[in-house]
Amino acid sequence: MKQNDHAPRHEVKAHTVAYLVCFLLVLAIPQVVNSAYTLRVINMIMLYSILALGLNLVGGYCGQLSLGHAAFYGIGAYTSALLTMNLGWPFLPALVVSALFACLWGLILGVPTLRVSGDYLLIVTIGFAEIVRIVFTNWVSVTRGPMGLPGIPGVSIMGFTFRTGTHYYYLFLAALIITVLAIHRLVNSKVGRAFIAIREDETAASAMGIHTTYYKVIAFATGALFAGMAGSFLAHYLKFVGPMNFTLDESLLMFQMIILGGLGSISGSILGAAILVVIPEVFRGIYEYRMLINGLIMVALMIWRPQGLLGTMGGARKAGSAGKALQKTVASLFSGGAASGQVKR
Amino acid sequence: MEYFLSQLVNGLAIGSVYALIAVGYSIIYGILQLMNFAHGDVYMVGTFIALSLIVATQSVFVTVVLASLAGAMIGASIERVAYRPLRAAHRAAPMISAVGAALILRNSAQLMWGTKTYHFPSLLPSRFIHLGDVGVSTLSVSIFVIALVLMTVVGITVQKTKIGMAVRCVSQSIPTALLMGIPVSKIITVVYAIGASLGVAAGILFATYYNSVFIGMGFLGTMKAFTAGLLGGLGNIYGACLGGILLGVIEAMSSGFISSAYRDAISFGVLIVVLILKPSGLLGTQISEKV
Repeated sequence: MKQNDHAPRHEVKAHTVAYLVCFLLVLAIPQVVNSAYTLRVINMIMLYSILALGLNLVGGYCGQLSLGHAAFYGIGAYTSALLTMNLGWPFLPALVVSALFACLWGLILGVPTLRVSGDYLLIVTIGFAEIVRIVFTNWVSVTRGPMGLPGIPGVSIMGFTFRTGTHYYYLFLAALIITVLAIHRLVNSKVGRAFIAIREDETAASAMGIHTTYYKVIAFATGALFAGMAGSFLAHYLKFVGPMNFTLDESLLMFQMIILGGLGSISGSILGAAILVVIPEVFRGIYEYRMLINGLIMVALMIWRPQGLLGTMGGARKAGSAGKALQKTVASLFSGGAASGQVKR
Repeated sequence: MEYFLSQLVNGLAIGSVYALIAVGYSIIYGILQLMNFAHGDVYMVGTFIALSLIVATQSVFVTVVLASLAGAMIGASIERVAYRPLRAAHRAAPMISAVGAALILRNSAQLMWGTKTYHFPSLLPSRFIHLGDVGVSTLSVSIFVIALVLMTVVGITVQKTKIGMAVRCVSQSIPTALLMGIPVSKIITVVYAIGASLGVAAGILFATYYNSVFIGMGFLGTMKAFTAGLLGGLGNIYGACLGGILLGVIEAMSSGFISSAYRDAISFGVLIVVLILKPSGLLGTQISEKV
């Protein structure tokens, strides 16, 4: 706390100014970009940033790797679509209810399954996501099955209807800023400290009196809440949802985003989302090779920077015991130069 | 009753193929604790190679041997390029690298063979024989027997031979194995090769059972290997075997008696329930964590 009191005033001011300038630049983007296509890509980046931020809370801050995030995304999207289409709800209540509904499913899945950890948790979340997708595909009377739900109404808040990409840009920007602020506050609170303690060493955290299951469930449900919110936005932005939007590949994509950007980093999640949304667009011209290039980038990136671009978690776990340190040294000897990135750090 | 028994035979046949995939996956998992997302795609490519070979040579023996060898080479080279440099990194890193490798394999296969489903010639005799009231296909029985024999061979290799002993050592502790003079990297490469060629064998059996090969069977196989391995207990070969057969029977029963559309959902549901009741899988041992 002392350090803050002594911080030079002009420096704080410089930061504020820098933030303001950045904010104004971001606000100006739709005025400068006049291609609807580019704006659409930027909007998708913001949606995926919200998803990646939610997943990063679970994976990056709490250390619980989940591959089922697309399930909550899908639950949010379908709930919002069905509420507005079948029951004629306005957008805002549908958004809130679908986010809460996704959060509820996060709790339902989280409470029993967070007892298992590591790879078991990973498969349980994959399994859950597959079950949700199969239900979307086969519950034809409600979800129209593989045909999906077309004709979802666009967003309209208090009489104002969102029509253009620019309208949606400001809507998603507001949502993204709220998400960033919420997650920033959360991870810098007592709860966030508990998350990080669990991530670093669950046994030690529980020995220090942290109720690990309780905090893991909180992380899981909060991540699901943001995914549900993003899902609702997606449904009303694309005006269509189908089971193909929520496959395992989608979960993997979000997972790649947080790994690429860096586990446990807010700006990393956004950067990861931006890169992985833009790459397929860049390679759209050579469509057949798109996934090949994506795969090559994934492998190359992991080899050269396994901790992600802006990660705080570190490429290698800080060795908890002498055995781990030995293992690390031995492994770096055997893998030759490739592990030297870590030695340098 | 007859319907139940014939579903059981179908379940056992396809379950033994799952078990074979899961055993290949499990020996790899046992050694590096890596979630190998590329496992299924390796065997998918291997099965496509087998298809090309059988069309070209018409010889079952040559096809099986060469395709398994090709699978082993693909598995070993992926290990060398995509996983070995990451042995010291955070454990999510090799996993993502495996996803990347899976994408590369899937896309390469798609560029070479396209997305259509190919007819796979039957390599095994298929006739119906009647045991009492129950009609049993010889195809099912021979797939079951071949898979069991292959798994037994792997089990014996791991338990009795010198290389098996080395594999067990490495999976216990890499640093100690190194200090004992075991060429760890070589052993890991061999394990990947064996796992991949087992996968190709399973892929050929799978293709023979369904008479078709398609790009999606790689991903399908990865999921089945994960589920079967987890049901039995990750990294445990016998667990993988049991989990695979169980998975096949559950699938056959649920598509026969409940709904074939929800078949996969039911098997994942069973998996989640098993893990809640016994978090380390059916044959897994609960490892107490070091503090």
